[in-house]
Amino acid sequence: MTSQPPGPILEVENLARHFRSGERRRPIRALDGVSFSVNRGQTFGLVGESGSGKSTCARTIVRLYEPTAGRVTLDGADITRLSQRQLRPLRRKMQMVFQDPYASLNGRMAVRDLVAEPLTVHQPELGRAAVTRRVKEVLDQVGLGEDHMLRYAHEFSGGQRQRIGIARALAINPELVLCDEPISALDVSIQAQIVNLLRDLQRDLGLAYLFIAHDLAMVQHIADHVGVMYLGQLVEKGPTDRVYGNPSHPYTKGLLASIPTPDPRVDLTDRPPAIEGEIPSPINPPSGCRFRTRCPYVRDICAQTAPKFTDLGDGHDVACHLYPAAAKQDDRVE
Amino acid sequence: MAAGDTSTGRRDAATVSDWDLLAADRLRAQAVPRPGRSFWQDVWSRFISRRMAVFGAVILILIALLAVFGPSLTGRSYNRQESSLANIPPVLSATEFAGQANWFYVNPSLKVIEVTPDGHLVRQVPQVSDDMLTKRAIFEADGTAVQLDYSRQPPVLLGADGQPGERTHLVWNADYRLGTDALGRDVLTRTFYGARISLAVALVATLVNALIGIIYGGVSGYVGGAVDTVMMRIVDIINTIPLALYVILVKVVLGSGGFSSIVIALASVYWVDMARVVRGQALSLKNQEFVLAARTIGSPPGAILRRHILPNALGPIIVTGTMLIPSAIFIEAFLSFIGIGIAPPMASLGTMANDALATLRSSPYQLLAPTATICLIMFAFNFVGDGLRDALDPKLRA
Repeated sequence: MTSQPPGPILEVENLARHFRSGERRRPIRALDGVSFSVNRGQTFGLVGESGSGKSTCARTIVRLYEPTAGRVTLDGADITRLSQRQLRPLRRKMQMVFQDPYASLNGRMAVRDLVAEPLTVHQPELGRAAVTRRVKEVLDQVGLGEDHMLRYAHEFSGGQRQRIGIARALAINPELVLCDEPISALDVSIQAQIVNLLRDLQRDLGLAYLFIAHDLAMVQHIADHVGVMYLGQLVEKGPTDRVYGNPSHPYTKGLLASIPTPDPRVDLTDRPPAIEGEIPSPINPPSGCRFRTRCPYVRDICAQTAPKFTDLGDGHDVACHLYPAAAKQDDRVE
Repeated sequence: MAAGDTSTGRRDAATVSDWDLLAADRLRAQAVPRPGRSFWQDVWSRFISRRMAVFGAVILILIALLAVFGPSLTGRSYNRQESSLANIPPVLSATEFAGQANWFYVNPSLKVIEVTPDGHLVRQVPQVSDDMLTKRAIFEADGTAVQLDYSRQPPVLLGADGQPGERTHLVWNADYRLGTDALGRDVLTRTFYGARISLAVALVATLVNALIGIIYGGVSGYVGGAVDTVMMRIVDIINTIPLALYVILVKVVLGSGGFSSIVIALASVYWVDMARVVRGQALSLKNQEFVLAARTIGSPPGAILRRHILPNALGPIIVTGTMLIPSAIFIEAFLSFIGIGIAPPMASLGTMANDALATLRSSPYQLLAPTATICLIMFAFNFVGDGLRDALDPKLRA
């Protein structure tokens, strides 16, 4: 890692996405004011339990969902207010790998056509032979052969399918790849293969990743920076080694404590307590700090005001009343 | 140097042997090469491996060929009447008399027809006298008298001497293979014309479903929201008015009868069921990850509809289509049957069935030809549809 970080490829500011709920006309606040940035050639890991808004965040960034508020800046350009048509040329820089390798590949298309789809959209000037050559190239990069090109997705295993999904994302040379839980649907042994493939591709192609996962160990393995989400908001973010080495938010502590330790000799008695209970409903989130209903350190102030981000040094920010507001005032709303 | 660097190094050391990618050529060495086939080659090979589907397709092709070329093979037209040769069945029970070269057949309306031994119809034998009391009629054939005793059921032909004929033969009708109807028209030729109309209706239904129904439903489902609501209410309104009423209305407005009003009525409203099915499919498919993936790639909505949603909805589309085509055929036949469809003297399977009702008891064969043809066409379409649905699903590739 260089001491001078390269500039951000993606900046997300106060991004929010609310869904209409059927009941009582109150919005589902799936994503509620999230800010972070992804540096060129680096990986930003987004972790949190199910329902914390990680996938909503990724889908709002690529404008599968229209943002309710906030701003997304891709390579210096604000893409939040662009129409889908205006956004199309910019999509070259930003591609996505989906969670479910079985659902994310059209079963009616041969692998060649699946991988060629971004090329036909973004480089219509390419001839058939040139497209095929490029498809061969990316398939080779992800470890698949050209004899796979005429097969259909259902003829492949989960890991191979995810390789196809990665090849498709890479076909037009994006600078940023959003990986929405790319490994959670795979077997553990395959997970390592895919993560290593992603790391190799990052090294070779200089890709930036927004890597979403609930597997904390895997995020530690791949991410340079990490953000911890809870109920639609970030509670802690910073360099991976700082966050994992010195988890500061009670939620982060609890999450890390819940990682199983494969060594029976490790003494677990001084571990912080694991989090109990269920994540509250995003239709009616708790007042003040959203984590207060499950927090072992809850105090009176937690119900009254939402904590602001406090800089613990080295870009390690935490939003918790345990850490008195320091000089830095983050752009957090509410 | 940050702490992460050393830990990265340690992890690499632990994983490099076990988890590194195989070299690309080693992966390929394990692959069993299979000749690449395009999607449509696959579809074809799956389709022809299904016996019933091929059977249905062959039947359909045969019917289509006969509908087009049949009338010129028989050399007759749908409206040429031979009233002296009315109600002649495909199989004749002819009586042979000693000394007579030709045989004689009595039709249900008690006319005597002279038949050659190889089944050609010569003429209707003129009647000389009719004794109502004894229920005997005398016919004059080539100078010989033939008596018809219709006091018995069935009537019996007697020679001039009052004795029954030598023998009775069953011969195939060599001039009218499926017999004649009550007006002496060739049933076979009229069946060809009826099949022609049925297939034309099937073609119209297919075109309308494919052009309007699929696009309308696809757009409605994929765009969603207010557009979907408005489009589907239009479908609801169309759907509440019965098709028979449309046909009558169109007929009144156009002032022309028959085929064109049925075609126009079908073309204007017959796509709504297909639109509903496609809309439902589009609604469920548009949130699938592969559609989301296409959107993040930047594919325009039209391409997503064409390349992702419709191909994946092909099964239900074809199932619906194969149900809608036979039912369109049936609707035409039904409307013609009740008299508001194809106008006489044009032959439709429905009008033929209606005509046959009058003589159902004496000449049931007249009903058999059109109804059997309708059954064959509908079965064939269903078999072909089943086969197509299976053939178009690559997951079933053997």
